[in-house]
Amino acid sequence: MSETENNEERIQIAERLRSAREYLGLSQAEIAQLVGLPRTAITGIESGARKVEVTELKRLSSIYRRSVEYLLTGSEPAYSGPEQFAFLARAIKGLTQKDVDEVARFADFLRASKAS
Amino acid sequence: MLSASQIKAITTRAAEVVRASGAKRRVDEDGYTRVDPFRIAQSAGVVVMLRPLEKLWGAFINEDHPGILVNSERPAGVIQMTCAHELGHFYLGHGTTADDQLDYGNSAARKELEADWFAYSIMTPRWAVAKIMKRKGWSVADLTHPFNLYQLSLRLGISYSATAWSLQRLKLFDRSVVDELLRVQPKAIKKALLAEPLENSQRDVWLLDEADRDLILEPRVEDQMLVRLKNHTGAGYVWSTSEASSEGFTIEPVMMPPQNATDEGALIAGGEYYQDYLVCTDSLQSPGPLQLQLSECKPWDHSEPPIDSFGTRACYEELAIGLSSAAKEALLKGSGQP
Repeated sequence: MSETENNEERIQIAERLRSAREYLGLSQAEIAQLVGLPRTAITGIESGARKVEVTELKRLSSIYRRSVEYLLTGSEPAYSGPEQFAFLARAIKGLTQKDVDEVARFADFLRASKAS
Repeated sequence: MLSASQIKAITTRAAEVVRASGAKRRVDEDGYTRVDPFRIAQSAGVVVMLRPLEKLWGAFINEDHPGILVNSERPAGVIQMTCAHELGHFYLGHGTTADDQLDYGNSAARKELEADWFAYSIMTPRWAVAKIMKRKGWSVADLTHPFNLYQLSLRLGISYSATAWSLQRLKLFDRSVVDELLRVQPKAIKKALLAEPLENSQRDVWLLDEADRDLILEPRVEDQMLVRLKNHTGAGYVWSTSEASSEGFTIEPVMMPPQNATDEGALIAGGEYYQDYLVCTDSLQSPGPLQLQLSECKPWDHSEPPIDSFGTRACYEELAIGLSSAAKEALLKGSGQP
């Protein structure tokens, strides 16, 4: 794999970690406290400047309730997805796709807590 | 429409929940003025997530682990009431459901009417309303004044209109009184309290007076707080924050345009009068209640004790996007499930 591809991959992992943290509304300082790292390490990880260790990734995966596979590759394990909540759209007139997606995303988050 | 016995069953269940979750003790013993539905959810293991939504106000999701999704882009009172409504779906054993409104009409599905009753029963139990009324010296007739109703709504943590409806549900108001009150917009009430308009029209204006001593109030960040204090300027006294015991608060008198200066109650006998002070703070980030301590002293003579003082606490509520603060707190304390 070329150096550029490596960098690009790291940036994408960084992006996924940042957005998973932001979904929970946690600050970098708070996630640092939970993982047991200095805040600067989280800043580094989320900017792609610092490599993530496997143990750190596992810890982040359990807090964010996203699989290690997803955080690394961006490929989603087979969740039931928004179509499961299509009945909400039928029940509520004018419900937007964005809202259905939000419900589905939160349902995934709840379901993933089984594993942790 | 629900029958009297169905309503009775729901209010009984709600009262149990409020007691068992510690929400009542929080008011009775700790000095808070209201029930916090986010804390009730957390105590029941229900995860609450605030997200910007478009059409939805909230949703209850009944997966293996139950959760509540609330639209973060609504005013604080609506957010609290939505959370309480979704809690109703949880406690009453309803399945996954989404809401694009509250205060459902009589023709709505039974589970929505039930969740509404549950929400009002936990947010506005008779004892909580009575406690605030007693403290403030408000009669039921006093609450028909929009200014008082608005201040009651802030202490209950729900919207102005929901507060009017709650008093009808408690059979303290007739429908006609509610209709009359709903003709007044909270916007007009806020404008009358402040010398200048609010930057964020969703934010609220709290008016504190001597009856609010030693409480823990829960304003939202960016809410404005006014303290109405008796003034002895004529005798050389000036109100100020006591730096030693006040956490980051400062006060400044609100200069009202002259036409407001003769408002009812502004002038009292003996050359003393009431003045509203705007409370500002710069330390919003620290968690837990902040002490607001004011005293009326002679600024040039610190050896003389203050002629009067006022102290209360404010616990700023975040309502930010993401996990509810109660869930975040639990996560950071390491008690496992957020």
